[in-house]
Amino acid sequence: MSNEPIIKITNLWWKYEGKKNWALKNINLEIYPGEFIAIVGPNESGKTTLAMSMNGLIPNNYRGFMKGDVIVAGMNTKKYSTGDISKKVGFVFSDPESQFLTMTVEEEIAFGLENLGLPVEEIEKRIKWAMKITGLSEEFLEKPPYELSGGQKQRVAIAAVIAMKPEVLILDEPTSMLDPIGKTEVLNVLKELKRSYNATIIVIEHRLEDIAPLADRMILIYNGEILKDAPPKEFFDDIDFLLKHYVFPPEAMVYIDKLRKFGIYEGSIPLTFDESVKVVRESIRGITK
Amino acid sequence: MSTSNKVVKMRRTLLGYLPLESPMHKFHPLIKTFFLLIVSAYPLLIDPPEWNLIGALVMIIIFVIASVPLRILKYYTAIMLNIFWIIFIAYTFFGGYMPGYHIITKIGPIIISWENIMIVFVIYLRMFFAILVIIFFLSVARERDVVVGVRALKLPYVIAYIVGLAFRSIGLSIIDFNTIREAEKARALDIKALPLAQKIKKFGMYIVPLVALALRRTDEVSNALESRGFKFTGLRGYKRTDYIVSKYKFQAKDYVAVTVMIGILALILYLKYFTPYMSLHNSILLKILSRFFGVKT
Repeated sequence: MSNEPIIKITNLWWKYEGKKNWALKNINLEIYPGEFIAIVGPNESGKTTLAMSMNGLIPNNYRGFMKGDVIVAGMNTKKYSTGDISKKVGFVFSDPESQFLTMTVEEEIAFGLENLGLPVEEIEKRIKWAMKITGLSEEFLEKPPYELSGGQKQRVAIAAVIAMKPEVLILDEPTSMLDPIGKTEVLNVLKELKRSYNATIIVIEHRLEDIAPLADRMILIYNGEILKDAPPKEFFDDIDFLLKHYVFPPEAMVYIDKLRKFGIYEGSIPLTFDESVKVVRESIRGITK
Repeated sequence: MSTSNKVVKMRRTLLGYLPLESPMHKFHPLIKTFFLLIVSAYPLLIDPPEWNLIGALVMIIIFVIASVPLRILKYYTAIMLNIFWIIFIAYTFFGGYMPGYHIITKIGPIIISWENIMIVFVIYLRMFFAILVIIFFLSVARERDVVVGVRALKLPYVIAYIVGLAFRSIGLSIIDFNTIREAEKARALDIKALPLAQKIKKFGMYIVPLVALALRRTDEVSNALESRGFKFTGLRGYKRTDYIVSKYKFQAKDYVAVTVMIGILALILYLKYFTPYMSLHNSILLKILSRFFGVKT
């Protein structure tokens, strides 16, 4: 990872016009190239606002009051439009339905690439690449995106954004409006992106059990403030703190935390279910010996 | 008895589905747009009803050649009949009277004249032909064809995009409308059981949530557009690529189709303005009808 942050947020405050409270309060954050960041927090805590401030939608497309600076890939969001920033930052919205702009999957993926002014051959290559990485077969190309299943729609939305090969990819609750199958499909795409897509990925997500093993860092935002910013192992070290701020870790983690409190287990909180099973098995062995 | 297991692959169009093997898919999308623009002008220029009737029959043959299921016309029969009755009543009973009109009969103060009945046939068959042209276009064209057609005409991209977005908005509004109706049903409101006046009132009430949802969608679409590098004022420093249009090439058959369509248009214009063949006085159908009504013209 480079020493220079790709996103640098300094003393950021943001208040929507007509609102009494600040949506973001004194946010200071540095994100480095190649990092996979998970942002978590309860509803209305400022997660989406923070995400939108990283691609320029805030302050360019929303009315409000801003203090501080957001520098993304060398561009200050106060000085560059969202369109300009979009060359560096891709944004996938939570509602797959509302982000479609065209009538076929092919047009949808090509839309951003056409805006970048890329040659036709390059667009063709990138469409194929984006379809492959998101697990969409070529038979989808001619289909209207709004006729697909929820998971397929969100995969098309991700393909449309990653085809532009942004240095930073932000996904705002990409699974929140999907059924369990759709959620699994999108999470598989996130795994694939983490494995093969060399970019900074920022995901706002409620499904902690799925996102924690992928994340390099996890950020807890609560009431407009960053309360915790740590690698996953450290992030889940204080389960009570998370619960107090309405972040609900997976049941397996809570269970292991209880084992720790009872003095049965002394290590760190495992991030995956399989690791948890292993910990429980070893703990039981320790008791029965 | 044998049954066929052949699966016909279809492609969605604006009005339904068209088999993949339809020859219409082989034409450049612009041809479909041209078809709508040029062929729908024919009935507007033709006065004699029999010519429009021939045009309508030719359209039905084109439906068959293009593999458009003719049952699609069944759905519009009621609309076409209603149009006929509206025109018939409006012109026959309320078409007015001018000195020199051939009076067929009088019903109280209403004078039924041959000239008004003639207008009914002229206008209706003109509309009949035009409606078939529109149904055909909607049956063979996809939203993408329209957008590619507009883009291929090299109009500013923003125009093409607004056309595309209009289609998208219709789709989204239908989804929103259905969501609102489902929500009403879930709260035990069965609109089908309501009297007509109540139904109309209810439909009026849909406007408020539909507009609210449309405004929200506008916001979301605008954010999505900006986030994907689109600028309504045009791109700075470089030209927008037209990838979708580049996928279609104008071929010999497309040139032939355009030439035929423009050729027929030119012929109609020539016949209308330079020969007596397109005059109502020479209409064979009107002559037969006038004899039927016992009118000497």
